[in-house]
Amino acid sequence: MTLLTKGMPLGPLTIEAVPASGMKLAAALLDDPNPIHLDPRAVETLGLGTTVINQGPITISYLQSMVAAALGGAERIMRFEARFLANVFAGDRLICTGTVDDDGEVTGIAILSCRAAVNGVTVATAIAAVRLAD
Amino acid sequence: MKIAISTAPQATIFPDGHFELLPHHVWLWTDAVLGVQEHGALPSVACLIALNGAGISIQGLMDHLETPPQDVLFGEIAIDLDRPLATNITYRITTRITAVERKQGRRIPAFDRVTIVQELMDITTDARIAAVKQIWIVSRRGPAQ
Repeated sequence: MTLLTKGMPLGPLTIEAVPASGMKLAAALLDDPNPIHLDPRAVETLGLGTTVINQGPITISYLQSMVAAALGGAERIMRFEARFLANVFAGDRLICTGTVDDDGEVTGIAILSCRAAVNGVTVATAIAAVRLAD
Repeated sequence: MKIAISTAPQATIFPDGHFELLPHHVWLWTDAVLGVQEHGALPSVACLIALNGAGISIQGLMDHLETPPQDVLFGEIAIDLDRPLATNITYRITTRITAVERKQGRRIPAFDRVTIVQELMDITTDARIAAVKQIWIVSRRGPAQ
């Protein structure tokens, strides 16, 4: 595992174009009937945009992947708390970044702050707590 | 604008459900979210388990909240993992709505902030593996006038 030091940057992890195909697969896996993830017309009808909207669990997965890349795997993530601030649409270029807020030297649990942004606008934030040892 | 008044109960406990997490579920989820298979199950797999294995479907939750699916957005998700999510385990899932708060906002004039708490237990040992807290934002706009 990469040594985490306070202030160390995480990422960036860039999704060049958020794919609609992932939303369809996720909708099937989650048994999620919400048409805003499947049908652009449903999004247009609501006046929210012209392309389908990413599921929140997908957006946080991008951030979790960035954290997992820093740790060499996802198994040490013990808490992940995310807030959604704006919709993410199919085709968006999404950039995940983060910072090590606490390196866990005292507690054995490191605290990481994460941010997902589209065109410089924050669409989701998250705090991750990761276990440093077995 | 007409504001719809929900008569949904403020707090509700739903029946427990079950879900067996198989390796292909994790593979497909990782593929859907552009993850790296070698990193193992992302914590978000807990959402897959929780939503699939609840004693009520997402549609059922929405029916309970008296809302069409397109009026629901995720506001927050918190995932606690007592241990890493493992495959070939059947999880027992408890599901509770713990709060429904009526709010007003800039983007959505009237909405309910619905807190849903789910716990994932290993069905053989009854040990808790994870907990998922979701905040749903449910628009309560009436028809435009």
